[in-house]
Amino acid sequence: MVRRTPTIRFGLALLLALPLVAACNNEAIMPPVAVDPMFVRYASLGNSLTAGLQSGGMNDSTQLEAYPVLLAQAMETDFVVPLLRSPGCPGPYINIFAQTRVGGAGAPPCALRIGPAPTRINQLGIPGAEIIEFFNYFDPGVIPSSTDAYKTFLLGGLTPVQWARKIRPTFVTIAAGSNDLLGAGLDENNPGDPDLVTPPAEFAASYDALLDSLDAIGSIEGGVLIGVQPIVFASLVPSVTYFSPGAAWQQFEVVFDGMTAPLNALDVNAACATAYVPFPIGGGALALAQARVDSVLGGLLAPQDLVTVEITCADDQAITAAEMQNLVAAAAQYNLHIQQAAADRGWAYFDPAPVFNNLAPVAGAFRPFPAFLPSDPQHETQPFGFAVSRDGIHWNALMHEAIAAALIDAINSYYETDLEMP
Amino acid sequence: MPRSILGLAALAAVALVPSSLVAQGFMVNEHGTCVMARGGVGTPKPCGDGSAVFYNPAGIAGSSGGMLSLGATGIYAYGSFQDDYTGESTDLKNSIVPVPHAYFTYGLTPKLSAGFGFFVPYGLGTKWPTTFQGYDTDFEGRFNGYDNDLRSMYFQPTVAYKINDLVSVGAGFDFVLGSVLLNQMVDISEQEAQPGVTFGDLGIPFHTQAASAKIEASNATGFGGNFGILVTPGRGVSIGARYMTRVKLDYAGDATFEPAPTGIALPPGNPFGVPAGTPLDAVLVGGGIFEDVLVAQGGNAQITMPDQFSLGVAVSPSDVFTVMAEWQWVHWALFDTLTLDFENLPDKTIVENYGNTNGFRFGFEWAAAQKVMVRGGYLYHEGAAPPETVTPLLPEGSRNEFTAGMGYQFSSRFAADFAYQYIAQDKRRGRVQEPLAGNPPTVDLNSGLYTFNAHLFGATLRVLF
Repeated sequence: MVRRTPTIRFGLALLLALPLVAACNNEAIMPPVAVDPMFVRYASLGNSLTAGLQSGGMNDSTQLEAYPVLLAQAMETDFVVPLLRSPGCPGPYINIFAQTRVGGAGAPPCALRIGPAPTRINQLGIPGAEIIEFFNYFDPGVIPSSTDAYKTFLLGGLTPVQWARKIRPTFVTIAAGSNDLLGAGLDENNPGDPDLVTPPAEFAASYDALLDSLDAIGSIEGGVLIGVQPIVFASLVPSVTYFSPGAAWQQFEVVFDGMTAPLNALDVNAACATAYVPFPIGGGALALAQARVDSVLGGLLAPQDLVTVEITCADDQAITAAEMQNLVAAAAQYNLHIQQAAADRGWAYFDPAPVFNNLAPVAGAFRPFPAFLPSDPQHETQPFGFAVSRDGIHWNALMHEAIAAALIDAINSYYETDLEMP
Repeated sequence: MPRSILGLAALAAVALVPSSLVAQGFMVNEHGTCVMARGGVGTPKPCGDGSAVFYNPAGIAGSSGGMLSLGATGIYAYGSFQDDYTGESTDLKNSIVPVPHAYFTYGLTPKLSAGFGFFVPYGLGTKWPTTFQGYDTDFEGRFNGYDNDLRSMYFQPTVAYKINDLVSVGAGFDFVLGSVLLNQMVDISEQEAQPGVTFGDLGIPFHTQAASAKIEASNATGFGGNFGILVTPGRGVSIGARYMTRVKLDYAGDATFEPAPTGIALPPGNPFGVPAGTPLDAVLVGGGIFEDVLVAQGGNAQITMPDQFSLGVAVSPSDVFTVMAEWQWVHWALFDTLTLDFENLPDKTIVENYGNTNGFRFGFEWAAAQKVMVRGGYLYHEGAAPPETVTPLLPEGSRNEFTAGMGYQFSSRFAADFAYQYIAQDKRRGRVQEPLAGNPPTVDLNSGLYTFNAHLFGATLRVLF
């Protein structure tokens, strides 16, 4: 045995002390958080209402007022929106009658996205998207639309389902179906054209395919399937202004006719008693009439040359009673299927109609006819009512709040959660 | 005979591809199976396999005759990146990599010895898949680098002199041959579609690949030195110190680009004005991106292999048992930025901000039988990368490592050593995206957790003549 010298003892002491400096310092993953684990990754699939289009335009302000953003705030979950620069894409209307928009006449039609591109997107609403476009942008049955540009500007050419695969949502809301009807409602050549309505069976097949695609991701724990929103159908919400009764438009023709004399006798058309005239058609006719009246008053046109611009409520001008019945029936069948699909998956179903029905009786919520005359105090700011944005179709911030609150109630009721309106 | 063996050894060493990731930064410390088995402690009491040429050049002083050793360390590294948001993991795709070493020593006189060593003290190799497992989207880290390789091969002639029974010194001259390979995807969302407007401004998603970029440079050369001293103050005690200088390597190479599918078919109404269904790839090609921007071109880069210093002590309480410890300091602060200077593309500066590191190693050696030596050890290395620069390129961190091994003397001329080492790196948060141009990296970009572990197997054969 070797006798230990002081040097050896020092060496051994050093050996014993050195291990003390070693340690493990594992860091941890930082998963997303929310008030409930079910909401940690929320994806919102839908249409222009979902995306936050208001007053015929969209920018970072309107986008952040949309109901999915409010819902995400209630969930306290991280929710990335593909924000558009101000003034917008395009800028929202300041005055729809004068066609003035935020940003002025010199603004580009689309101010593009706010950079840099986010690493993911949770807000998957696409204006104008029919049900099949939630997962397929190239179906030949889809009619091209000016809103198609949003498929690139918002989602970069990927479909909502492709984005959902990327973010693996734990919770989804899906608002689909409105554009499968609205395409018909807004058609310039024949509003209400039954051929432009997605047949309910076809809608159901596409809806199921959408849900199957989402199921295949394997991450979704819950969701809300939102029924077709009553933005189109006067029979659901009798006073939605965008599709005003033809009789109301004809009554307004009288106002314009009365500004000059003599004019041809008003040709009262019985069809207007049951038809609904889209705002662009009725408004366009009245604007043309106004311009001609102004020309006479300005001496640019002789009174005898004045031609009456008449709204006849013919099929190519209005949604006839039969067409409206077809649209309403289709919407009902859509909603039946959506409701059944929710039940099949154990998800919640949300019908937005009661929100509208509760607001409809409130004076000024939905005007029976647009504030067409400049003398109307709401002509510029609330031409279609205080619950509708300045394009007559899309919800304004107030309505988004109402929808979000109702959705929160529905989620709390179905999933026994405690979400609170932000 | 020795000369021809040396030549073959050098050829074999070059043929094997050293590519590893087993110590702090991109340093490799396994250059001898004997030392590897005892926790990497080689400075205070070098092994008799010639690896002293690397671990402490003074250690070859006093040798008699000639000795040739050849060996390799097989490294099986495995790890993953787990995404914070989705929870999905992507595994490293590294294969087993052999890291060679070769030494030759010869006692010129009882006090003067000469030697030659080949080793690879700096190298990294990381291979990531370009897709996540589990769902059909892509691994975001492929834009940082998905197949990366850096090698610095050192060729070191060495002399050592035994001043007296107390002190020996040694020095080596390092000729360094370096190469670097970086493969990464090009994100089209950051490129300009027209002046002042990026594809991202038009909505093209973040991390949309448009091309794979391959940046490759080889035959960079540099020079340095390796110096050591060995002191035996008393019976059974030895103290060693060693300093290896930094080596600056200037790389000149090429950057080439190959189109990679974006996976995007443009929808109707797209801002490019092309028919619905047109692949974005066609728009890029038609716009001349592979003729005007992403064209093959030359490039330059400079990387400094940091200097390192180690100090250790070995104590033998008996004739058959030795315990030892060592501290190593590596000047990783030199690796602060990596600037890629392209002919046509804007220069790219990758911020690394590495910090100097300390390593603590402990080992033992026990002559269990006349021909059998049993070894074991433990080591701890600090990580060099700061929290903001842990990337797929080098997901590096502090490590605890455990070693074991044995040596066997087959005859008076032949002996072999075998070793196993397990590396457990601390789980480390990191990122899979680069900061915006002109912005420094921050921890805010960290979006997941890197894990890294490795099994190492070493074998060295030595021949005395």
